[in-house]
Amino acid sequence: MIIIPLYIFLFVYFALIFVSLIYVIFNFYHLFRFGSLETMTVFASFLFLAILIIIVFCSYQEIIKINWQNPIVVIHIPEFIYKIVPQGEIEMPWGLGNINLSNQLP
Amino acid sequence: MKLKRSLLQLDFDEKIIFFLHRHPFIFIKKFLVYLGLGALPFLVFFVLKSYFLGILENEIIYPLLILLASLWLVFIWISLFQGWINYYFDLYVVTNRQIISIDQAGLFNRTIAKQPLSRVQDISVESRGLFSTIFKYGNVYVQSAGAKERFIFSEVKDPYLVSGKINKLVREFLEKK
Repeated sequence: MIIIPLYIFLFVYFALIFVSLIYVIFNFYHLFRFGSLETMTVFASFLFLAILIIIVFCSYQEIIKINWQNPIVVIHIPEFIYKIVPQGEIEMPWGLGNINLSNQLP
Repeated sequence: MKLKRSLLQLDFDEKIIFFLHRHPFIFIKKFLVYLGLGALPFLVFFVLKSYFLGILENEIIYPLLILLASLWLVFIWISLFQGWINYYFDLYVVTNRQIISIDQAGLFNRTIAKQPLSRVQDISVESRGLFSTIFKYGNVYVQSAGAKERFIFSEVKDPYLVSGKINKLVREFLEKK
């Protein structure tokens, strides 16, 4: 039985958040390169960062409530595989849903 | 706003007479659109909670909705910030020698167009629609003999006042010449 856990989506989420943070850094670089350190730019940057932190913090509060170990897909291995692969455990990359054949045998 | 002379590549003795942004209402319009888009996840949650509670109790769909909503809000907020940067750096500068248009399109696209006052032939104003009449903004078209024949000050505040000022500057410039 192969189990694909829910936290795969969490990885994708963090990757996208990371990309957007890099984009934010580019925006700031742009803002202070063409603009200057004046009230308007500082205020806008502060407001932007404050709201962004609030969004991320509220998301974090919801994310930690969820059990990310829940499976999204459970793939049952057909019986003929047991005949091909000797009994034992097949390790999947990064330990995702390791297959333990010995437990699955009838 | 402090203008960087080096960015505009002005001559040593060139003076900035005035500079213009687009009318703030243009950004407020954008802000309201983004506000509506930002409210979308909350609206979806409200609808789901009221009519499809089963979806919110689902162990797979609920976490995905949370992640999607979070990403959506982050992207909307960043886009709005970038929209403000574009608005803030879209500039029309009038000096005692030329008019300069700085068009910021995205992070890495920036167009700076210049038109010497000596080439200005005609200035016209266009103010169309309900909002532009109420909030007093519009386009100022500067017709010239240059390569870029029509120079547009898009959606600037008090377009008639701006056209009057440019007209006066052109006249003064030609008289000095």
